[in-house]
Amino acid sequence: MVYLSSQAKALADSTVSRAWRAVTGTGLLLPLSVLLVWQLADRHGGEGIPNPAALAATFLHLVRESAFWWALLASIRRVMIGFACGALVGVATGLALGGLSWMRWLFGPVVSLWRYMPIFSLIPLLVLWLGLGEPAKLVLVALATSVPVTLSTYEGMRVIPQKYQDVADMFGLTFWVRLKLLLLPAALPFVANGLRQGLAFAWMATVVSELFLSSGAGLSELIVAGQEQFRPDLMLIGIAVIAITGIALNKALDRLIHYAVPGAQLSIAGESRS
Amino acid sequence: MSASVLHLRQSPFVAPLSGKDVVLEGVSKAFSMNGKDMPVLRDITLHVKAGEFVSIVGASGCGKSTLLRIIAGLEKTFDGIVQIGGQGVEAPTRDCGLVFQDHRLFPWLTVRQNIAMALRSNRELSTQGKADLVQSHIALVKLDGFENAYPDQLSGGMAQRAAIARALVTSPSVLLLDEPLGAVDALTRLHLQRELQRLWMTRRTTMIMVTHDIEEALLLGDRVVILQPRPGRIHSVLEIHTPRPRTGEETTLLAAKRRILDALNVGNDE
Amino acid sequence: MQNHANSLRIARVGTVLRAVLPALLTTGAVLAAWQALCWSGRFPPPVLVAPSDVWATLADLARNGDLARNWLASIRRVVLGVAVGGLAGFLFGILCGTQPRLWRQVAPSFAGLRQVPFIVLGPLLIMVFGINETFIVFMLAVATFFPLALAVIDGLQNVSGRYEEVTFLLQLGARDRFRLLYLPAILPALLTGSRIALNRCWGLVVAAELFGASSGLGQMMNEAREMFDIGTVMAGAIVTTATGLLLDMALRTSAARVMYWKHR
Repeated sequence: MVYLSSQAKALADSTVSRAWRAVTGTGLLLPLSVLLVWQLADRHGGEGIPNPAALAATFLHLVRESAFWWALLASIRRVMIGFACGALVGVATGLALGGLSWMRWLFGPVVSLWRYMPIFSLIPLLVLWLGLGEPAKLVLVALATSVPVTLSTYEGMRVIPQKYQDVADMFGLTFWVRLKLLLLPAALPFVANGLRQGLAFAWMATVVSELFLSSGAGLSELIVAGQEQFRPDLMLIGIAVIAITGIALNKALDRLIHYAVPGAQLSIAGESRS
Repeated sequence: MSASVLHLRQSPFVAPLSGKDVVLEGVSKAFSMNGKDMPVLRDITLHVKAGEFVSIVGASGCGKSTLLRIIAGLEKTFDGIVQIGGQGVEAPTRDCGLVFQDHRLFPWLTVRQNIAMALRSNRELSTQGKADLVQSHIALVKLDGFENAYPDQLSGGMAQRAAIARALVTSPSVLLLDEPLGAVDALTRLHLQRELQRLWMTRRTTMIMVTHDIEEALLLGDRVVILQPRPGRIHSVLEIHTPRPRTGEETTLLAAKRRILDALNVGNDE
Repeated sequence: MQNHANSLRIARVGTVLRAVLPALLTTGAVLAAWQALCWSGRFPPPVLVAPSDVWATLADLARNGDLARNWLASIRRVVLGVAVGGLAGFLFGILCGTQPRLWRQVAPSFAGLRQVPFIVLGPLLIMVFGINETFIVFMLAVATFFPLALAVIDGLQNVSGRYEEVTFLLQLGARDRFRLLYLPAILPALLTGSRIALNRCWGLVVAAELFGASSGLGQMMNEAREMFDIGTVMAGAIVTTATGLLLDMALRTSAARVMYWKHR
């Protein structure tokens, strides 16, 4: 009997310690303890900020409605279309600036100024020109994407060592050959980094455009609804869903880049280390 | 050789020094690599007399640097006994200075600040006393006029001199030199070798120098320890009785060089 | 000698001219085309206003003090937010950078949280704090906290072990180690982080002011938009861009001064 119980205890001990290691090893300790303290501090689900259990209930209720999924789909569609257009424009502009000296001479200094333009200061202008509908949102997302993509691509082509350029000059390579053999391979890691930054910007622009131009479906509906009905639980869930979707999008792009450019050294998302 | 003999005095602030003896008794060390223990040093026994200059030569990978790091107290785990002046070594002490191959001056501090840094843990000296000590050591390594220069404004040789001054300013009884001239150009190297000889004759600090340059080892050492690689162990020890100051051209040194090359199996492959 | 100095000066003017000439040329061409388009009458004023009108609006705003008032309001928020968030991020970074075991627990949450588009906090913060200074400053502080903390942690983790050994060898105390080694060693990363944070905050403050504020460049532009005053909207966009550039230049200049030891 004693033997059995001590064995059971050892078993329980090892299970507990394994679970503990799983929690600490994956960095779940902090979020779990925050949730626990939050829940315990606000057990009665009183006024103001709801507790995690109430949030979970609201969330489960939400995901049973089709409107939530349509909103998610609308936001993802928006960010994808805007990002794709912006990325195309950005890569093309960056390549042209980096590869053609007269383009660089004419537009290089002006393009370098883009970095400093707060992209959201264009919102009032876009609203005046394009209204509150989908076009204005897509243009904003595309613009937000194109700026980091252009700058990063351009930078990637500028940092190509002069000695390689000299070799290309020696053999009298034409623009297209040079692009294929030298510029593109050299710039690819920079393009990849620009795209990652661009996606972070694009997701932010999607959210901002939905919040500010509040027409049509989108995840920001949750936040707007929460604001209008004074329901912090909806807002918190909205923020969490937006954050998780953004992280998932980043992860998906990383996979894609990893697949396309196996050796790319990726800097930390959304950070330009100039 | 008496340790307290003092031939020269550079300045009133550079204290006349007597070194301490260093005792290594059966020192072994292994690094674990991929779960396996890789022996670096095996059973090193060496008694360095106070005020003696010992050169250690050997091929790369024979644990020369590790040996110095153990004596300096930078390596925490090893087997055997290491004593400086009869005291066991557990952590870095002021008794023991170390000059690295790379000068390791902090790039954001001037030459003066870099040297003064070594005196920060000294609580007995006054501020003025420290400043004088720093200045006299700048003069000792002939860097007058470069007190306020930053390391990247110095040549490699000058930076290494500043590093030597930083190691000497605490008046250590033992100075460890880990290929101190390994990274300077050939001409500067010749010059600094003579400077080191002068410094040792001035200070009579116990010095242990690791080098892969046999001529350098012979020029400076009272004894030359030849290490054998993988794992590092003592092959033989050579006593050099050539009087100082040496020029490196002495026939006794040339003969000794031949013997070391033979011991290291260099030059008689054919 | 005098002649030599003169020719040097001329050469320098030439270099500067060669650098800015294309920018001036393109800008001039775009402005001219834009002006011509407006004069052609195809796009009536509510849609497009001529550069000359934008310039006139800008001059007006500058004269009646609106511009200075709103500019200062925006700048004040950014300075406050960056100061509060920067200090918090710095201290947090020091804590996590020196306590690897703590950082191992915090890192995953940190990595997730820093990817949140902080602008979505806006409505929630408005609900908590109301439409006032606090909500904007809080948002900017949060946006500053992450890049700054990351820079400090990164910087501390990259301090060369070779230098750390020197401090052990010379038996420096904790305070000396921090002052003589860690602080200068993380300075470059810290400045890069500050530049990222400042750039981001300047973008964010405009956006936040679009949501709700009683002053600031974003609020000025939003108000103008509601009255179809496109001239003010464009003037605002120009001023915000120029300010973003100036802020970055100021930080870069001070960076060069702080890192006085870089000579080559």
